[in-house]
Amino acid sequence: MDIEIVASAGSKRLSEPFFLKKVLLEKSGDASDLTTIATSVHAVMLESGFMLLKNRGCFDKFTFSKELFTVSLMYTLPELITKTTVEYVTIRFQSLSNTVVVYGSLGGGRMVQRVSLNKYRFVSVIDLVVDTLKFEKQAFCSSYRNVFMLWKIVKDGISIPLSMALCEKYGLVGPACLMRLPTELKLKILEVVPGDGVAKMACVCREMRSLASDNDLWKQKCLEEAKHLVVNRSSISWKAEFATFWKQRQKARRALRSDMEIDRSMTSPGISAHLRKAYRMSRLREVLRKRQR
Amino acid sequence: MENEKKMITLKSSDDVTFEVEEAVVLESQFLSHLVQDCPAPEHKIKEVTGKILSKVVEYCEKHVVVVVDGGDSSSSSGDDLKKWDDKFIKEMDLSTVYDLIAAANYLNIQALLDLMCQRVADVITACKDHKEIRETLGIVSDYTAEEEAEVLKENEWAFD
Repeated sequence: MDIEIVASAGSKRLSEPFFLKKVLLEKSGDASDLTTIATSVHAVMLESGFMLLKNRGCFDKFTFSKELFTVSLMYTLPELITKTTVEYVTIRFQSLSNTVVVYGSLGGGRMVQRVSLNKYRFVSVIDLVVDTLKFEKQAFCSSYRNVFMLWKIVKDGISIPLSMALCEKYGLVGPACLMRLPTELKLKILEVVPGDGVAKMACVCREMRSLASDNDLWKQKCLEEAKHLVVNRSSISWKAEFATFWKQRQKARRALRSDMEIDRSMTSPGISAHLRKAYRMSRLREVLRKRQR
Repeated sequence: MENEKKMITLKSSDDVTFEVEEAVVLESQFLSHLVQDCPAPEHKIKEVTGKILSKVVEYCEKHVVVVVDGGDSSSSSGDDLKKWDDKFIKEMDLSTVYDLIAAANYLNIQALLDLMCQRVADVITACKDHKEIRETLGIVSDYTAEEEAEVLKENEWAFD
């Protein structure tokens, strides 16, 4: 019986492993590691909305035999094809002994994204998908999980950043990103970021700065992370309180760390971890007591 | 007592269909109201694509099964579920995470929304500074040099 892996009239979506298998069967022309990895990255590019630009006969099957160490493919977004000059992105593959390094750049070489893919980790699972995946139901079985990892690495590292850059340049609606989420959802994310992370977020852009300066948000951070904090003024900046708490904590931690180094050099390796922990706890209590005075 | 399980068909914005048990749909407050108010066999969800709906269905199916099985041995299945959740988010690219946040918010699936927001928060927490956050999350700075210097000074304690 022939295995039909073409989507049944658009009513079902192909899972990532199945889509990968389809692209590999159509596109890979030899079994070299470079061809296998490059074709898989090609599959992720297609799934991210890119299309391959015709260059050097790449509408044929990919055959990047082992002698060839670097290979480049050019892609664009279908929305950009009507413009007089086609803006493209270049994906370059460099085959090293254990890894394939993938570089993604915008047309003129601006903005270079880079990920490296381990051959041992990914080639075997890709081969396994081609050889054994037969039914959509199997796609989520554990032996194929590394396909999802590959997908994630290439999307986060290469295809989505390139797609975002292109879309921004031409005013297209790009892939989903944090800044396009509604305000209440951005705030919801900040609510679960620790205080120092929220302060770093404020440095990212103007909108984040304004979201990250919410006094109630900082009150929540104080209550969660600085439980013993005693505040007796009525009108306060919770962020300032948090910053004071943080500085003291970092100072205490540094003191503790240098103490521990002395401790380690003095004690024999035979001393149990249990005792060392007890010592650390007593030091921590001491530091806290000092600070409360 | 062999009750036939009631099946419901969900259709995404791009007409991908998913046949799921009614219990799966009940994980979403939005969908449970929809199913109650309008007893049609098929429901079109215009705001969610097939790609994202497949992830939503995968999540809800997993959580329904575990909750039902969890009647007798709740703690171990709770651990399994947490492990499954960890894997579910670890293998997901960020662009999909944002789409799922929007979908979980729209469909009102609180646990999924919390899980996905935590995922983004973890990514932010793992970054060492604002530049790494920008790179990782693809945010373009709109600060002038002076503004950036000012905001960095204001928050320099956090980089310690």
